[in-house]
Amino acid sequence: MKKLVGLIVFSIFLLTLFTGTSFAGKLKVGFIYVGPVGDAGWTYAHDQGRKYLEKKVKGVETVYLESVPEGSESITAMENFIATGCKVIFATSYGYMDPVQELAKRYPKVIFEHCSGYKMAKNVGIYFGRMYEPRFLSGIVAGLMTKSNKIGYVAAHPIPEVIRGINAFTLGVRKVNPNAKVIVVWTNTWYDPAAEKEAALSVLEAGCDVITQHQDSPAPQQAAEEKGAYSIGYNSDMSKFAPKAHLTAPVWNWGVIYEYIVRKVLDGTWKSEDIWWGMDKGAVGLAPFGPMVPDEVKLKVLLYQKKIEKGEFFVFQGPIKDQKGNVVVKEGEKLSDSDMLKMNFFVEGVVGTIPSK
Amino acid sequence: MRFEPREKTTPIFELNVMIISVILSFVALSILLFIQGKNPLQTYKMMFSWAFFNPIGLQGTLVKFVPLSIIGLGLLAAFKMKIWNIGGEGQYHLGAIGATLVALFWFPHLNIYLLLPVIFLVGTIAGGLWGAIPGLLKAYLGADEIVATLMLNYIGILFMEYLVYGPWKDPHGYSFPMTATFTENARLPIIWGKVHWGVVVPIILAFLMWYIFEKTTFGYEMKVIGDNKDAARYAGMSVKKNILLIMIISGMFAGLAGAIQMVGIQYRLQPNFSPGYGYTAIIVAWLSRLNPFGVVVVAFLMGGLFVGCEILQILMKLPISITYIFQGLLFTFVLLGEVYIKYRIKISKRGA
Repeated sequence: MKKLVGLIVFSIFLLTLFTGTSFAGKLKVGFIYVGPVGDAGWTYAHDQGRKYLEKKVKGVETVYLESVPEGSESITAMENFIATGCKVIFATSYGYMDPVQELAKRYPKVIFEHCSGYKMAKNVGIYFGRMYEPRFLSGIVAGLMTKSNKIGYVAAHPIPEVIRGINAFTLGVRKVNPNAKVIVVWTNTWYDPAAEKEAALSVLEAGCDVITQHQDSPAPQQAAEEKGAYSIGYNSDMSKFAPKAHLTAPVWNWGVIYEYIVRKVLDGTWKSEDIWWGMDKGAVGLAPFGPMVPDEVKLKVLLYQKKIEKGEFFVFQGPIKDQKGNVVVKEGEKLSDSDMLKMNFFVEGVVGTIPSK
Repeated sequence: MRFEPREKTTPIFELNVMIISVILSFVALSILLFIQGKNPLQTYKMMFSWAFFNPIGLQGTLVKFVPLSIIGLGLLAAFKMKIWNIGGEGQYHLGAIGATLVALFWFPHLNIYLLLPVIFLVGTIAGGLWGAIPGLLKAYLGADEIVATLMLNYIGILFMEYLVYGPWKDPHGYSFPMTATFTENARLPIIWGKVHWGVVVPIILAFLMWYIFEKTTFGYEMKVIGDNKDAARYAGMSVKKNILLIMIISGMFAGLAGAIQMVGIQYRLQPNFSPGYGYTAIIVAWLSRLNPFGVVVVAFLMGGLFVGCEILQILMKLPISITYIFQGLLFTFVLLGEVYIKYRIKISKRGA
């Protein structure tokens, strides 16, 4: 019995050690990840952003929790951050949206930033990157590099973000090659190397000579390398996995967004904002081109990149037709942000269907 | 080296072996922590004080305790009969699906005191049906239940994904793959922080399980079948019927766990909501040495292990792999302990 009392007293002593603001002076920032930091994809890109933040901004300490399931149980995980003194929390997957809202009500002094969702509050900001811009550019590369005019798209889950990527890519392809088609195959995975490789092989065998992907594993790149085809990666530069196939990749640079937000917190000017940054601010971009990409392709991409960065060209600008040929965006019109966030149709040139639409 | 079966063992001996096995897994983990440049003792202290004595940590532990213990109790029933149900994860998902069906589509406006029991009932039945499939395959076709239950996990999870990406998708949710959230009348009242009333269910169920196995003929038959199927058949027991029955019961527990998780904390169906409780519950059932009250204790400790590992990520900056390694070590050493309990190990020199 004495031992038990001793243990409890000792534990309370430890508690006071670990809780509270023992990290005086430093702003503590917590990152919650849906996958493992070593996935080479989505979570990896966020973790690179976290490291960038720690390097660029003095007086910041970052911590993270990886592979946290989405949904309400993430609340208890995020409360660990708060209890250990984190003042800012980045929730890096859409499934944390409602948990963040609930926590924000209970902890009004903590600043929350949620990635890829749409619910805001006084102490909840949202952030995302306009990935459709580099997706469009990578479509130009694919459209110019294909010989069979069949391009494969190994798609993840049928959610607006993925559909938007497929459409932006296809618009890029058709801009330079109106005869090309983009063949979509769904894996319904975010990270499953075996399934994603199989899916990539299936479109390659169907005659596609360039493929791209939306999942976090580099397996489709490796499939293209094996079959002697070209490939376009995603999330981060995947060239080391497929040096002969990898043309380029639309990539995330979360670090610039993290730096911007945390600096605002540090100088006391943080406000709940809807941040959706594009290539002009460097939040998204293209990975370096492989040696097989000819200069005229690079020039074409650069031309559109400059136009996008200057705001002279917009990816989802009318006229845009859906798969059946109906005009969905009229000449001279642009899709609004909220329409893009809800996107649930395929543009002309996509071969495939959106499951259970 | 030879293995000789032990004639008889005392419960005290078995308990000691188990405790030593657990300690050995801690020692093995210490070596890993030491290589990582962390002080193992400090690490363990941090884990335990956070998971069991910090209010936030303890809430997390209790939240994880509920599904782990309920699924674990169900698995225990099957394991007692030496039916290896590793389909807890799928049965858990089916329970969650059943609960969502009731809460969002069947009776969304029912009074809470009527609605919650209906949710539990349908969740339990859904889990039971998912257990019945491999039960039928095993009992009447002789299929291997390990493969059947494992495969049904994937089917159950994919079925859930089909629903949330398709017909059950929240129409106001920006096409995100989630159902709408449950209304207030489909939520279990909260006791403390995130801890809901579901936390008392495992304790009630542990008594029920104990009663079934110690006081009823049904429980007795289960144990006899587990010990010797031929003898049981000879004594006139229906082995097939009992296999099916135990798979249904096992699935019902996991299904109930899924339903409680939905109304207790999740309040909606969405992909990737389970951290694999159905699989961890296998370790829980096994560590408990198939004792219902042991399951309750071990599930609590296992929940604490998860939470403790979360705090290690934050304060010690250790990767999550530590959690998986620790679970693996625990299971390995407990299985080795199991061998030691069953067999005496004799080291004999050749020619001696």
